[in-house]
Amino acid sequence: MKIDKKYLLISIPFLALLGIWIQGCLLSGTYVITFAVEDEIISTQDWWNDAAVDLSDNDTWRDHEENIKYVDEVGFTFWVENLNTTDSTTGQLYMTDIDTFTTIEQIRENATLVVDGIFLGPGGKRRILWNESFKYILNFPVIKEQVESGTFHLYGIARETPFHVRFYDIVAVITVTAGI
Amino acid sequence: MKRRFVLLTSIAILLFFADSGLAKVKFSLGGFGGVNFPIVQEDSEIAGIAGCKARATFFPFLGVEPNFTYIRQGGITAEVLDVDMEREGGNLYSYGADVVLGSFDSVEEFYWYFIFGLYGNAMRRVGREDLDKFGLNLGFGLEILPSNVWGIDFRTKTQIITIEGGSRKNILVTAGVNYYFGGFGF
Repeated sequence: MKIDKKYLLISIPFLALLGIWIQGCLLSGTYVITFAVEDEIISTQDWWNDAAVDLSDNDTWRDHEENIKYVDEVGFTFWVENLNTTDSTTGQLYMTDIDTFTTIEQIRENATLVVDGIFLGPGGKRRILWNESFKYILNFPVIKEQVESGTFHLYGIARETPFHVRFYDIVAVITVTAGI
Repeated sequence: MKRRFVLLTSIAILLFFADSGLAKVKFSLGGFGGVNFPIVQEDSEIAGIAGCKARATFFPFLGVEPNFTYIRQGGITAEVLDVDMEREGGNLYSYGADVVLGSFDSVEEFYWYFIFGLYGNAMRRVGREDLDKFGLNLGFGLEILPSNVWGIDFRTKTQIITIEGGSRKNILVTAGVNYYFGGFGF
Protein backbone atom coordinates (compact mmCIF):
# COMPACT_ATOMS: atom_id res chain seq x y z
CA MET A 1 0.00 0.00 0.00
CA LYS A 2 1.33 3.42 -0.93
CA ILE A 3 0.85 6.28 1.48
CA ASP A 4 0.65 9.80 0.12
CA LYS A 5 3.67 11.81 1.26
CA LYS A 6 1.40 14.70 2.14
CA TYR A 7 -0.33 12.62 4.82
CA LEU A 8 3.02 11.44 6.17
CA LEU A 9 4.22 15.02 6.47
CA ILE A 10 1.03 16.15 8.14
CA SER A 11 1.22 13.30 10.64
CA ILE A 12 4.77 14.20 11.81
CA PRO A 13 3.78 17.02 14.19
CA PHE A 14 0.99 14.99 15.71
CA LEU A 15 3.28 12.03 16.33
CA ALA A 16 5.90 14.33 17.83
CA LEU A 17 3.29 15.99 20.01
CA LEU A 18 2.06 12.61 21.16
CA GLY A 19 5.61 11.60 22.10
CA ILE A 20 6.08 14.69 24.21
CA TRP A 21 2.68 14.23 25.78
CA ILE A 22 3.62 10.71 26.80
CA GLN A 23 6.71 12.02 28.55
CA GLY A 24 4.49 14.25 30.61
CA CYS A 25 6.06 17.37 29.19
CA LEU A 26 2.82 19.09 28.40
CA LEU A 27 1.50 18.50 31.87
CA SER A 28 3.97 20.69 33.68
CA GLY A 29 4.28 24.28 34.79
CA THR A 30 6.74 26.63 36.46
CA TYR A 31 5.95 27.70 40.01
CA VAL A 32 7.45 30.26 42.38
CA ILE A 33 7.49 29.09 46.00
CA THR A 34 8.34 31.46 48.86
CA PHE A 35 9.60 29.84 52.03
CA ALA A 36 9.97 32.03 55.11
CA VAL A 37 12.70 30.77 57.43
CA GLU A 38 11.42 31.11 60.99
CA ASP A 39 14.76 31.29 62.77
CA GLU A 40 16.99 34.32 62.78
CA ILE A 41 20.72 33.77 62.88
CA ILE A 42 23.07 35.61 65.24
CA SER A 43 26.74 34.68 65.08
CA THR A 44 30.18 35.56 66.33
CA GLN A 45 33.40 33.63 65.80
CA ASP A 46 32.81 31.90 69.17
CA TRP A 47 29.10 31.13 69.18
CA TRP A 48 26.32 30.89 66.62
CA ASN A 49 23.04 29.30 65.75
CA ASP A 50 21.83 27.88 62.47
CA ALA A 51 18.45 28.19 60.75
CA ALA A 52 16.95 24.79 60.07
CA VAL A 53 14.85 24.60 56.91
CA ASP A 54 12.31 21.89 56.20
CA LEU A 55 10.54 22.74 52.96
CA SER A 56 7.75 20.27 53.69
CA ASP A 57 6.46 22.88 56.18
CA ASN A 58 5.39 24.93 53.15
CA ASP A 59 1.96 24.15 51.65
CA THR A 60 2.93 25.05 48.08
CA TRP A 61 6.09 22.94 48.27
CA ARG A 62 4.08 20.00 49.61
CA ASP A 63 1.56 20.39 46.76
CA HIS A 64 4.30 20.06 44.12
CA GLU A 65 6.98 18.04 45.95
CA GLU A 66 6.20 14.69 44.35
CA ASN A 67 6.10 16.14 40.83
CA ILE A 68 9.13 18.42 40.78
CA LYS A 69 11.08 17.85 37.57
CA TYR A 70 13.63 20.61 37.85
CA VAL A 71 14.74 23.35 40.26
CA ASP A 72 15.08 26.40 38.02
CA GLU A 73 16.49 28.85 40.53
CA VAL A 74 16.83 29.63 44.22
CA GLY A 75 16.98 33.22 45.40
CA PHE A 76 16.88 34.78 48.86
CA THR A 77 15.73 37.90 50.55
CA PHE A 78 16.86 38.82 54.06
CA TRP A 79 18.09 41.52 56.39
CA VAL A 80 21.71 41.41 57.48
CA GLU A 81 23.09 43.55 60.28
CA ASN A 82 26.63 44.15 61.49
CA LEU A 83 26.35 44.15 65.27
CA ASN A 84 30.00 45.13 65.56
CA THR A 85 30.01 48.93 65.88
CA THR A 86 33.75 49.42 65.36
CA ASP A 87 34.68 47.27 62.31
CA SER A 88 33.25 46.67 58.86
CA THR A 89 32.29 43.15 57.87
CA THR A 90 31.27 41.03 54.88
CA GLY A 91 28.19 38.85 55.42
CA GLN A 92 28.13 35.23 54.23
CA LEU A 93 25.57 32.44 54.22
CA TYR A 94 26.62 28.80 54.23
CA MET A 95 24.35 25.85 53.44
CA THR A 96 24.72 22.24 54.57
CA ASP A 97 22.78 19.26 55.86
CA ILE A 98 25.04 19.07 58.93
CA ASP A 99 24.11 20.80 62.19
CA THR A 100 26.86 19.56 64.51
CA PHE A 101 29.67 22.00 63.83
CA THR A 102 31.70 23.00 66.86
CA THR A 103 33.98 25.64 65.31
CA ILE A 104 33.61 28.36 62.68
CA GLU A 105 36.47 26.73 60.76
CA GLN A 106 34.42 23.55 60.45
CA ILE A 107 31.57 25.55 58.90
CA ARG A 108 33.94 27.22 56.45
CA GLU A 109 35.55 23.92 55.49
CA ASN A 110 32.54 21.60 55.35
CA ALA A 111 29.49 23.67 54.50
CA THR A 112 28.97 25.29 51.09
CA LEU A 113 29.28 29.05 50.73
CA VAL A 114 26.08 30.10 48.98
CA VAL A 115 25.97 33.87 49.61
CA ASP A 116 29.06 36.05 49.83
CA GLY A 117 30.15 39.65 49.42
CA ILE A 118 27.58 41.64 51.39
CA PHE A 119 29.63 44.52 52.74
CA LEU A 120 28.45 46.27 55.88
CA GLY A 121 30.01 49.23 57.64
CA PRO A 122 30.32 49.35 61.46
CA GLY A 123 26.81 48.93 62.91
CA GLY A 124 25.32 48.91 59.39
CA LYS A 125 22.42 46.87 58.10
CA ARG A 126 21.02 46.07 54.66
CA ARG A 127 18.01 44.39 53.19
CA ILE A 128 18.92 42.13 50.30
CA LEU A 129 16.01 41.86 47.88
CA TRP A 130 15.14 38.82 45.78
CA ASN A 131 16.53 40.05 42.47
CA GLU A 132 19.60 41.59 44.11
CA SER A 133 20.43 38.32 45.87
CA PHE A 134 21.58 36.76 42.59
CA LYS A 135 24.59 39.09 42.63
CA TYR A 136 25.77 37.38 45.80
CA ILE A 137 24.70 33.76 45.26
CA LEU A 138 27.37 31.14 44.62
CA ASN A 139 27.47 27.39 44.04
CA PHE A 140 23.99 27.01 42.56
CA PRO A 141 24.38 23.25 41.85
CA VAL A 142 24.84 22.61 45.59
CA ILE A 143 21.91 24.89 46.49
CA LYS A 144 19.78 23.00 43.99
CA GLU A 145 20.81 19.64 45.46
CA GLN A 146 20.02 20.78 49.01
CA VAL A 147 16.66 22.20 47.96
CA GLU A 148 15.79 18.97 46.15
CA SER A 149 16.54 17.08 49.38
CA GLY A 150 13.91 19.26 51.11
CA THR A 151 15.92 19.94 54.29
CA PHE A 152 19.05 21.92 55.02
CA HIS A 153 20.68 24.27 57.52
CA LEU A 154 21.78 27.85 56.94
CA TYR A 155 24.70 29.42 58.79
CA GLY A 156 25.21 33.17 58.70
CA ILE A 157 28.74 34.33 59.43
CA ALA A 158 31.27 36.85 58.06
CA ARG A 159 34.41 36.76 55.99
CA GLU A 160 36.49 38.70 58.54
CA THR A 161 37.31 37.76 62.12
CA PRO A 162 36.25 38.90 64.67
CA PHE A 163 32.64 39.39 63.64
CA HIS A 164 29.20 39.77 65.12
CA VAL A 165 26.36 39.54 62.59
CA ARG A 166 22.62 38.98 62.50
CA PHE A 167 20.53 37.60 59.62
CA TYR A 168 16.75 37.85 59.91
CA ASP A 169 13.52 37.82 57.88
CA ILE A 170 15.17 35.22 55.65
CA VAL A 171 13.00 34.01 52.78
CA ALA A 172 14.03 31.50 50.14
CA VAL A 173 12.30 32.09 46.80
CA ILE A 174 12.39 28.83 44.88
CA THR A 175 11.33 28.43 41.24
CA VAL A 176 10.59 24.88 40.09
CA THR A 177 9.27 23.13 37.03
CA ALA A 178 6.75 20.56 38.22
CA GLY A 179 4.01 18.32 36.92
CA ILE A 180 0.52 19.76 37.08
CA MET B 1 24.94 18.55 20.15
CA LYS B 2 21.23 19.40 19.88
CA ARG B 3 22.09 22.61 18.02
CA ARG B 4 24.05 20.54 15.47
CA PHE B 5 21.20 18.05 15.18
CA VAL B 6 18.67 20.77 14.40
CA LEU B 7 21.01 22.41 11.91
CA LEU B 8 21.89 19.15 10.14
CA THR B 9 18.23 18.09 10.01
CA SER B 10 17.29 21.44 8.47
CA ILE B 11 20.06 21.15 5.87
CA ALA B 12 19.10 17.53 5.09
CA ILE B 13 15.47 18.54 4.51
CA LEU B 14 16.53 21.42 2.29
CA LEU B 15 18.92 19.22 0.26
CA PHE B 16 16.33 16.45 -0.10
CA PHE B 17 13.73 18.74 -1.58
CA ALA B 18 16.19 20.86 -3.55
CA ASP B 19 17.58 17.69 -5.15
CA SER B 20 14.15 16.34 -6.03
CA GLY B 21 13.87 18.71 -8.97
CA LEU B 22 10.11 18.49 -8.79
CA ALA B 23 9.46 22.18 -8.54
CA LYS B 24 11.04 25.52 -9.05
CA VAL B 25 11.96 26.90 -5.68
CA LYS B 26 10.35 30.11 -4.58
CA PHE B 27 12.20 32.06 -1.88
CA SER B 28 11.26 34.72 0.59
CA LEU B 29 13.04 36.77 3.21
CA GLY B 30 11.22 38.37 6.09
CA GLY B 31 11.21 39.88 9.52
CA PHE B 32 8.63 39.79 12.26
CA GLY B 33 7.77 41.06 15.72
CA GLY B 34 5.15 40.23 18.27
CA VAL B 35 4.26 39.14 21.76
CA ASN B 36 5.17 36.11 23.87
CA PHE B 37 2.44 34.78 26.17
CA PRO B 38 3.99 32.33 28.68
CA ILE B 39 1.73 29.40 29.65
CA VAL B 40 1.70 28.20 33.29
CA GLN B 41 4.95 30.00 34.07
CA GLU B 42 4.71 31.93 37.31
CA ASP B 43 8.22 33.27 36.79
CA SER B 44 7.59 34.96 33.43
CA GLU B 45 5.29 37.67 32.17
CA ILE B 46 4.13 38.69 28.71
CA ALA B 47 6.92 40.30 26.69
CA GLY B 48 8.13 41.00 23.16
CA ILE B 49 9.52 38.91 20.30
CA ALA B 50 11.56 39.77 17.23
CA GLY B 51 13.03 37.61 14.53
CA CYS B 52 13.93 36.93 10.94
CA LYS B 53 13.14 34.09 8.57
CA ALA B 54 13.79 32.80 5.08
CA ARG B 55 11.43 30.48 3.26
CA ALA B 56 12.12 28.12 0.40
CA THR B 57 8.87 26.91 -1.16
CA PHE B 58 9.71 23.66 -2.94
CA PHE B 59 6.21 22.52 -3.85
CA PRO B 60 2.92 24.35 -4.25
CA PHE B 61 1.89 22.93 -0.87
CA LEU B 62 5.16 22.84 1.08
CA GLY B 63 7.93 25.19 2.15
CA VAL B 64 10.79 25.06 4.62
CA GLU B 65 11.48 28.10 6.73
CA PRO B 66 14.74 28.42 8.69
CA ASN B 67 14.40 31.20 11.23
CA PHE B 68 15.79 32.86 14.31
CA THR B 69 13.61 34.31 17.06
CA TYR B 70 14.60 36.43 20.04
CA ILE B 71 12.00 35.93 22.74
CA ARG B 72 11.90 38.07 25.84
CA GLN B 73 10.60 36.52 29.04
CA GLY B 74 9.07 39.31 31.07
CA GLY B 75 10.09 39.95 34.67
CA ILE B 76 7.66 39.44 37.54
CA THR B 77 6.76 41.00 40.86
CA ALA B 78 6.06 38.82 43.87
CA GLU B 79 4.91 39.80 47.34
CA VAL B 80 7.43 38.54 49.87
CA LEU B 81 6.87 39.40 53.54
CA ASP B 82 4.40 42.13 52.48
CA VAL B 83 6.95 43.77 50.19
CA ASP B 84 6.62 43.75 46.40
CA MET B 85 9.85 42.36 45.05
CA GLU B 86 10.80 42.36 41.40
CA ARG B 87 12.62 39.64 39.55
CA GLU B 88 14.06 40.54 36.19
CA GLY B 89 13.10 38.45 33.19
CA GLY B 90 15.24 36.48 30.81
CA ASN B 91 16.04 35.96 27.17
CA LEU B 92 15.34 33.02 24.94
CA TYR B 93 17.14 32.58 21.62
CA SER B 94 15.33 30.15 19.39
CA TYR B 95 16.83 28.86 16.14
CA GLY B 96 15.52 26.16 13.86
CA ALA B 97 13.35 25.47 10.87
CA ASP B 98 9.63 25.21 10.29
CA VAL B 99 7.83 23.19 7.68
CA VAL B 100 5.01 25.25 6.19
CA LEU B 101 1.99 23.52 4.65
CA GLY B 102 -0.53 25.48 2.61
CA SER B 103 -2.01 25.94 -0.83
CA PHE B 104 0.55 28.36 -2.19
CA ASP B 105 -0.38 27.79 -5.85
CA SER B 106 -4.01 28.88 -5.68
CA VAL B 107 -3.48 32.11 -3.84
CA GLU B 108 -5.22 35.34 -4.78
CA GLU B 109 -5.14 37.83 -1.94
CA PHE B 110 -4.43 35.72 1.09
CA TYR B 111 -3.94 32.14 2.23
CA TRP B 112 -3.92 30.17 5.46
CA TYR B 113 -1.13 27.82 6.38
CA PHE B 114 -0.16 25.26 8.98
CA ILE B 115 3.34 25.31 10.45
CA PHE B 116 5.49 23.03 12.59
CA GLY B 117 9.19 22.97 13.38
CA LEU B 118 12.10 21.72 15.41
CA TYR B 119 14.19 24.14 17.40
CA GLY B 120 17.23 24.61 19.54
CA ASN B 121 16.56 27.03 22.37
CA ALA B 122 19.17 28.90 24.40
CA MET B 123 17.63 30.14 27.66
CA ARG B 124 19.50 32.84 29.55
CA ARG B 125 18.54 34.51 32.82
CA VAL B 126 20.72 36.13 35.47
CA GLY B 127 21.00 33.80 38.48
CA ARG B 128 20.19 30.64 36.55
CA GLU B 129 22.09 27.89 34.84
CA ASP B 130 22.33 28.48 31.09
CA LEU B 131 20.02 25.98 29.42
CA ASP B 132 20.24 24.81 25.81
CA LYS B 133 17.17 22.71 25.12
CA PHE B 134 15.37 21.07 22.25
CA GLY B 135 11.90 22.30 21.38
CA LEU B 136 8.92 21.89 19.09
CA ASN B 137 6.70 24.57 17.55
CA LEU B 138 3.20 24.11 16.17
CA GLY B 139 0.94 26.75 14.78
CA PHE B 140 -0.91 28.37 11.93
CA GLY B 141 -0.88 31.64 10.07
CA LEU B 142 -2.48 33.91 7.55
CA GLU B 143 -0.54 35.74 4.88
CA ILE B 144 -2.03 38.66 2.98
CA LEU B 145 -0.49 39.41 -0.41
CA PRO B 146 -0.99 43.00 -1.54
CA SER B 147 1.42 42.37 -4.45
CA ASN B 148 3.18 39.40 -6.01
CA VAL B 149 6.44 40.13 -4.18
CA TRP B 150 5.31 41.39 -0.78
CA GLY B 151 3.40 39.54 1.90
CA ILE B 152 2.07 40.59 5.31
CA ASP B 153 2.18 37.62 7.59
CA PHE B 154 0.21 36.97 10.83
CA ARG B 155 0.87 33.82 12.77
CA THR B 156 0.54 32.14 16.12
CA LYS B 157 2.74 29.30 17.30
CA THR B 158 2.79 27.20 20.42
CA GLN B 159 6.35 26.69 21.53
CA ILE B 160 7.16 23.67 23.71
CA ILE B 161 10.68 23.50 25.16
CA THR B 162 11.58 20.27 26.92
CA ILE B 163 13.27 20.59 30.32
CA GLU B 164 14.22 17.53 32.37
CA GLY B 165 10.93 15.71 31.93
CA GLY B 166 8.90 18.91 32.10
CA SER B 167 8.56 21.75 29.66
CA ARG B 168 8.17 25.46 29.16
CA LYS B 169 5.40 26.54 26.87
CA ASN B 170 4.83 29.86 25.18
CA ILE B 171 2.29 31.14 22.71
CA LEU B 172 4.02 33.38 20.19
CA VAL B 173 1.81 35.81 18.30
CA THR B 174 3.62 37.68 15.53
CA ALA B 175 3.16 39.90 12.51
CA GLY B 176 5.76 40.28 9.81
CA VAL B 177 6.64 41.21 6.27
CA ASN B 178 7.99 38.85 3.59
CA TYR B 179 9.66 39.64 0.29
CA TYR B 180 9.31 36.94 -2.40
CA PHE B 181 11.52 36.15 -5.34
CA GLY B 182 12.15 33.27 -7.76
CA GLY B 183 10.09 30.16 -8.48
CA PHE B 184 6.41 29.91 -9.33
CA GLY B 185 4.10 32.86 -8.83
CA PHE B 186 1.15 33.23 -6.55
